[in-house]
This record gives sequence, structure tokens and C-alpha cells, in this order.
Amino acid sequence: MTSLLAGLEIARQALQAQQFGLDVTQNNIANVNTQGYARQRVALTPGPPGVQYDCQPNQGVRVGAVESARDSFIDYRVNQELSLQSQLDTSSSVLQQVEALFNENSDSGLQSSINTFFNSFSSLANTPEDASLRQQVLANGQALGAQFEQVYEQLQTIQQSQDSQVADTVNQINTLTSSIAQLNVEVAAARGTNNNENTLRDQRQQLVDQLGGLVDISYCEDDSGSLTITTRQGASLVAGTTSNPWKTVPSPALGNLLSVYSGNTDITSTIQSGKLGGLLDVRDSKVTSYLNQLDDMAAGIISKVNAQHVQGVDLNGDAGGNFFTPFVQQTPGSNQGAARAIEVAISDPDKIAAAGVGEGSGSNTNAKLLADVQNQALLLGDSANLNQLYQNLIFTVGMDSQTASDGLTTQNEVLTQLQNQQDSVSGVSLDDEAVSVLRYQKAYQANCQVISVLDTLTDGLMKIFGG
Amino acid sequence: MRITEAISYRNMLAGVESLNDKLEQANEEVSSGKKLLNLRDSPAESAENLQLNNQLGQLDQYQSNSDASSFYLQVTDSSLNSLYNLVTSVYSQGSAAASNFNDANARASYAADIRSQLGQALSLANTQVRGRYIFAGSKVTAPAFTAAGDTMTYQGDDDVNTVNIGEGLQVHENVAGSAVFSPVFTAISGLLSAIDSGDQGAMQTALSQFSGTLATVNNVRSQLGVDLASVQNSATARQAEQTDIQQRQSTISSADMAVALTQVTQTQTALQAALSVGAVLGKQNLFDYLG
Repeated sequence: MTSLLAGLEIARQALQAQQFGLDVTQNNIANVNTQGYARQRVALTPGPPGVQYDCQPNQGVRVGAVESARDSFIDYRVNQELSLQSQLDTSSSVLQQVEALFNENSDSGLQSSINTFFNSFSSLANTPEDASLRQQVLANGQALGAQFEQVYEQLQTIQQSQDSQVADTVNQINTLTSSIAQLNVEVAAARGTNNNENTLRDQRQQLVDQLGGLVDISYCEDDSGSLTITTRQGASLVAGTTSNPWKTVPSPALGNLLSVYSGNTDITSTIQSGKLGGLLDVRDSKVTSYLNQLDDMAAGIISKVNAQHVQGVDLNGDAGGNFFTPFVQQTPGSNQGAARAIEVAISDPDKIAAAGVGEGSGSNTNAKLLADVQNQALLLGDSANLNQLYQNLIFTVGMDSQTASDGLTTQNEVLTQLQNQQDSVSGVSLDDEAVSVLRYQKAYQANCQVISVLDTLTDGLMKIFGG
Repeated sequence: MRITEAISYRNMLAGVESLNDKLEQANEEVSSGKKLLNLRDSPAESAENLQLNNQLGQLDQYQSNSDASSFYLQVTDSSLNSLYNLVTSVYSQGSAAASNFNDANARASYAADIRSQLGQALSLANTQVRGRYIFAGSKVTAPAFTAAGDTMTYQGDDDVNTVNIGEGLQVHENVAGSAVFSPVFTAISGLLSAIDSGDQGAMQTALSQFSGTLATVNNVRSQLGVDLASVQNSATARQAEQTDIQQRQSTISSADMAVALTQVTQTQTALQAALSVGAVLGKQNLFDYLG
């Protein structure tokens, strides 16, 4: 100690340092429930060494830096898993909506309509000339068409809803990337100034996590402290202080559903996970596949029933015409739209060709064959009948939903574990902070004691020399 | 591992959410009595359940077809039974008419009776049920036979409908009148012609055709019997199949109430425990002990 007054200065600095430590601790406690907040610690450093005497102690304590407790590897892993969790959450939620449309565990549904329609031909075969049975066949044919159309349109509604969410999600991504680019600027400016850098980094990491929930991303920090963010397939999102806004454009190839563009590049198929990945997967892969299967089934029913119907003779002895309005493919090889095109082509029940050629009106030859269309292995390249095709669809829908649901359960557990690890490093523990409060409080009290002692000594001196 | 308040709350929340899910699932099983509530609960069993529903629907349709065919077969058999009795009666009267002791008046009287029975046979041949002439083949909207004097002309065709009453199992639904009534009418009209002419030799010749005619009626009735037996046998087989399918469906889709209720109780207990722990969480940290 060089002088009593110098000692007072050291004690004053120490009081300030402990006070600062208490402030930081208080801030930690205040943010105990703040999402994305990483606990902070004051790095105290000894003051500079004294210069007047050898072996003189350092000149008190200084506040070195306020450090944020973060493990960038765990933060990155959490971000990656958030992406997958969000994708599975989105998929599972949408697929459960789809499931409800095909819930054939109940007594109604598309299968029931299919059975009713073909059974009405079987009933007609019992009394082929019966007018009420003929009317029943027409009514059930119309009901079948209505049921196909209803399920198809409900699926399309779900698909359209996904499409709207794609646009919303891309907007959210653009907002986030813009904010992150701005924070990159602010982090770089605050770097080394000990001025809000940690808070800015916390804010940025929180936005990066939100972004990771929307789309699969990779990111890295450069020397200036700026983050560069791309999708895992390399599409740029944020490059330093600049964000690269994406846009959505209706795509004729996808039936005017939205494609996602980065600049002039269509990156729709490269997005793997995140909410956007989940939306696109369900919209473009799953629901489209279900719609296609419904279309194929509908086209098969129309063509096979018509092919059999024209083989018969109606109640007036005339050759049978088409039972359903024939479906014309808009694109060769594609049955798209067939499920909405099942329309009974005849309105006069007498025109139902239940009889065989050369037989009277009481013949049921063709009615039986029409009923049997349901069991013929005529669809999917002669490998499956109508019932098997529909069972495959039911199984696929159930399996897709189960896979997403089970995956989500697992992913939630993985994410919980990782977030726990992240909190273990970065989270605020009230026990820790209580200890810090005690520590700073005791240090503060001790320094007050030092000041008190110095004050006593100074008073003594003052009295000796004149007081 | 350093445990923070957030970790404790997150773990508690995850545990409670998971238990709530399980409780909801178990409650739904108990209240609905179903195990397969959603397709995702078991896609394979859901698809199988659908297939079983199809099979049950098909069995119902077979039952409906059986009922329809059985009705027509019984009406047909009843008509042919009447026909058989009628032909037997005609034969008796024809035999009496062929006696040496009959004079022209007596033969005319026999002929009148036989003509009356011929009319009854025609009526049987034109039996109409539910608006269809059942002996007209597929031309069911017009009478099977028309009469011109003692001569009956078949207006129908030889088509016979079959209906499906089981997997690969068909029965006839009708009998073409030409196969059974035409020989009868031919025999009776031949007999009447002989009686009218008083030619005893011709009468005997005509009567000799009756045994073949009766045999034809019997044969057709035998076939009807076979079809009716098939209908009855198929009903038994169908019921057995229906029971098997329903048992399988029950195994697949019905909730095991004992298991489901136990699950509810266990989960409720676990949930109460988790919530109790959660209630303690916010009360314990070092600040509680600092003065």
C-alpha cells in the first residue's frame, strides 16, 4: 500500500467491481425465464502492479469483461434438431388431418360408397328389370362420384392450406434473415466494446433458432462476428450484413402451387426440413401422391365400368352406352382430375345394360359382370383390384402419419435432451446466482470494512498531526 | 450436469404432457370401446380391418342374393309341384277317357275337364311374381306362353339367370318354361286331340308320353332342390365366416377394457405424482435459505 488514500481508491474500485458483479447477477436473475438468454459472468482482473516499490501488490481490481456462457457446438446442434422437430411437427399435424378424411375405421367413407355402388349391381342382378333397383344403381353411382369428389376436394383444401403457409413461412424467413443481417451489423459494431454485444448475440441466436425451425440451415461466424447462413443445400440466406430474400412464384408444373426461389433459382426441391420442409414434403409428395392414387382409382372405375357396360343390353334391348361420362386425360398418361369427374352419364334407369347381348330384359348376365368389376385385377398394371388399391392407400396414409408422429415423439425427446444440455451451459440457475449474490455481497462488505479501517487510521493520523 | 430451473420445468412439462397424451388415449379407448382410433394407431390392422369390413359387406350382399334367389326358387318349386299334381290328374283322367266303355259324350266330358286343367297349367306357366313372368327365361315382361286352342306357344327364351350367393358359388334363379312346360303342353294337347277323335290307340300313345313328362318335371324340381340346398348350406357357411371375421375384427379393433382401465388408473397415478413433484419445484432454491 502506497498510501492510505491510495488504499481508499483501491477499496472504491473494489466496491464498484463487486457492485457491477451484483448488477450482472441481478440481470441474470431478472432473465431467469427469458427465452434465449445466456447467463453472464463478470471477468474480474487484478489492477495494474504498483510501480513505486518492489513486491508491491497490484492496484486493486478491474472489471475485465462480461462473458456470455455459450457452447456454440451445442447451440448449433439444438438449431439442427429444432429444424427436424419443426418439420415432423408440421407433417404430423397435417397428416392427422388427412387421416381423418380416410378414417375407414368408422362405418362411412369412400370404401363404403364403392361397396354400395358395386353391390347395387349385384342386387340388380337378382331382379334386373326392377325399376327401383335400377334407380338405386344410378343413385349409388352419383353418390360414389360425390364421395370421390368430396374426399378429393378436402385433400386439395389441405394442400391449398399448405400452399398458403408456404408463402407465410417464406415471408417469416425473409423477416428473420433481414433482422439477423441487421444484428450482424450491430454485433460487429459492438464487438470488443463490451457494450450490449452479449445481448445482441443472444437476440441473434434466438432469431437463428427461429429460422432453423422454419428451414434447415447451416451457419458459421466470421472474424467480424457476423453470421453467414445458408440452407444445408447451399442456398444463401444471410451473407454478413446482407440478407437474401426469397420469393414464392406459382409453378405451372405443380398445378400453380408455389415454388420457392432464391434469386432466379428454384430451390423448392432442395429444402429438406424445418416447417417449410415439412409443408413442402406433405404438399408436394404425400398429398399429391394421395390425390394421384384417388385419380387412378377413379379413372379405373370409370373406364372399367364403361367397358363392361357397353358389353350389355339395356331394358329396351339396345346396346349399352357409357355408364359414366368418359374421362379424357388432359395430359397423356396422367389421370389428374379423374376423381372429380365421376359422373353418371345416363339419367334413364332403363338404359342400364344389365342383360347380355341377345338376351331379354330379365337377363342379369351383364349386371353380374358389372358387380364383379370391383374384384377384377384390372388396375395398377393388372396387379391389384380396386379394394386392394384403396387398402394400399389407407395403409400408406396411416403409415405416413405414424412415421411422422413417432418421429416427432422421438425428436421431442432428443431436442429436450439437447436443450437441457444447452441450459446446463447457458441457463440461469437461481442457486448459482444466490451464491454469486452472497459472494459479491461478502466482498462488498469486506471492502466496506477496509474503508472503515482506513477511515479510522486516517482519523488517528489527523488527530496526531493537528486534530 | 448443472441443473437450472428451466431444465426442471422443461422435464416436468415433457413428463406431464406425455402422461396426458397416454391418459387421453386410454380414456378414448375406454369411452369408445375401440383400440384403433386412428389409422396411425396401426396402419396394417386398419387396412386389414377395412378388408374385413369389405368381406362382411360382401357376405351381406350374398345373403341378400340368397334371399332373392331362394324366394324365386321356392315360388318356382311350388308352381312345378302344382304342375306335377296337375299332370298326374290329367293322366288319370286321360286313362279313364281311354277306356272302352266310354261313349262320345263321356269322352267329351273328360276332354272338357282336361282342357280346364290345361288352362290351369297355362296359368302356372305364366306365373307372375313381383311383376316378372318367372318361366319366360329372360323375357320376363311378357307371359311365357300364349294359347291358340289347345296349342301353347312359348314366347320366352332359354336363358336362365344365376346369382352369386358365395365366393365362386352360383345358384339358378329361374327355370326356362320351354324345358318343363312345353313337354307337358305337348303331351296334354296330344291327349286331347286323341280324345276328341275318339282314337283309343292315339290316346294310349299320348298317355305313354306322360311318364317322360313327369320325369322331366321331377328332374327340374330335383335341380331346384339342389339349388335350394345350396342356398341353405351357404347360409350356414356364411354365418360361420361372419363370426370368424367379427372375432378377428374384435381382436384388431376392440379395446381390451381391463387393460385400458388399468392404463387409465396407472397413468392417473403417475400424473398425480408428476404434478406433485412439479408443485415442489418452484419452492426450492438457495434464496429460500438466505436471510
